[in-house]
Amino acid sequence: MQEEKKKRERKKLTVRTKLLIGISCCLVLLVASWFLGQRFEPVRNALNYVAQPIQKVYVSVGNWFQDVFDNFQSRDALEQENSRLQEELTRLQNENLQLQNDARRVEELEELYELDSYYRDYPKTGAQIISLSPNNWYESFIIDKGSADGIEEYMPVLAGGGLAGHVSEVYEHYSYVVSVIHESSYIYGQINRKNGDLVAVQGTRTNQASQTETGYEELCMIQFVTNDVDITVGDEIVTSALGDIYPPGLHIGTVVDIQPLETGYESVAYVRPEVDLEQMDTVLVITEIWKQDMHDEVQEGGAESGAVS
Amino acid sequence: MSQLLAGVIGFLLLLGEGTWLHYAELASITPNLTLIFVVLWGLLKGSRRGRYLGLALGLLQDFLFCRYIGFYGMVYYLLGHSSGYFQKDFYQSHAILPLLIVAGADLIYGFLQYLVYCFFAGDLAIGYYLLHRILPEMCYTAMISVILYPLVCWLSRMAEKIDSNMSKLRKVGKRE
Repeated sequence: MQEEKKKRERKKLTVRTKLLIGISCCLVLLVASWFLGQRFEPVRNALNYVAQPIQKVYVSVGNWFQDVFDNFQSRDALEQENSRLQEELTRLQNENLQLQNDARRVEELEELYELDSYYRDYPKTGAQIISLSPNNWYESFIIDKGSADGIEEYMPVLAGGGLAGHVSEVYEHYSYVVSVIHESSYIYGQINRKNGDLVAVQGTRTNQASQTETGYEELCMIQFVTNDVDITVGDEIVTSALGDIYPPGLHIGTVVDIQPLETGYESVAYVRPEVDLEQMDTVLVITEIWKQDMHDEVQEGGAESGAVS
Repeated sequence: MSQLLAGVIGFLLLLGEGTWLHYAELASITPNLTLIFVVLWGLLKGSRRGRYLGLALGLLQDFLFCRYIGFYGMVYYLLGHSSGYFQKDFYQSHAILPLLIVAGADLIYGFLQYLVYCFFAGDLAIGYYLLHRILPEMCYTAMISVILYPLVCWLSRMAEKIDSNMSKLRKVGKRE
């Protein structure tokens, strides 16, 4: 009896020590990756080498199902949409003509004043989204291009004609993009009007978001002093030249809702971003870093990590 | 052998979470398939197998999706282990206990994620996260676990067959 008891006790102890060993292994990894994150790159690359084909198959199968599903949409809805789009097309054609005239005039004026063109064509490269973050807590996604394709940290990412986010981590054949709706996102924006006010576009994180109706999670918000900023529902928000990461003139989104805060003299405007993460598709990465000092910092960081490894 | 098979299936589920699972998003909440699989595996196969599967899948998730490695490994390790404690007191035909255990595990998981992503970042609004992330995710995950439970049961029976066949083969090999 006693021997059995002893055996059982020993067994219990070993389970406990095994648990402790497992936990401490994880903790050691956690601390190690904190201090020397770059060292794990080979492991990450190897795992991604296996994972990426599977993820690509998943995405293409998902898109195929989406297409099939969309095809089942009723004919009426499609016809309605068609007529609506026709209307919009004529409107846009008119607008386009006007804009072309404006552009020509701007060019003439620029020549006249010897100004560099403000909105430049940035060099871009296409990339496919291969995965979103697997949990509900972190709005980021993975694209299938990395340092081997010339991607660097802090490069802006565009999708569907608007801003999607910026590159946050780069590996050899893939990189992470933090989206504009991510909680820590902070963009220097501007209302797209003549003499539009400057605003700060943030991801939704703080307590205020909880006081609005549902759907806020996919939105960005602008907190502003009510009397100081002239902003209405339907305003388009673009990036301003003040930011470090994003070049000016990129479309962030449209204001969909404005609500006063409890404090009385401040309000929050909710911005629906152009990018729709659920439609996993291709994105465009601007392969040029906007501000030179930022670029230098990145280079220094790269050189350092290169020296270590 | 069967453990390896479970690992591969778990890996495929994990990759699915970032890709096709987002088509099943409800109010921007997705269920946590990896957690369901780890917890049910621990429940059906015991603590030892549960925690090893949890550790493997957690570390894979860390390496593939996270900047700092080890958090998910540890969480899944502990969840897989502790779900094994319920192994002896339930019958496979009942789906209520697995549902409750998965729900409880997801609650713990959500709370730990809140601590890591928000609390330590200085965001103390737990009520908001509880209502908008943790509880919806828990309900959704628990509902999906009811659907997945028979599948995992079937997989576990297959795993037993594979194991017994393997051990027979080994015995035959020894005799010869």
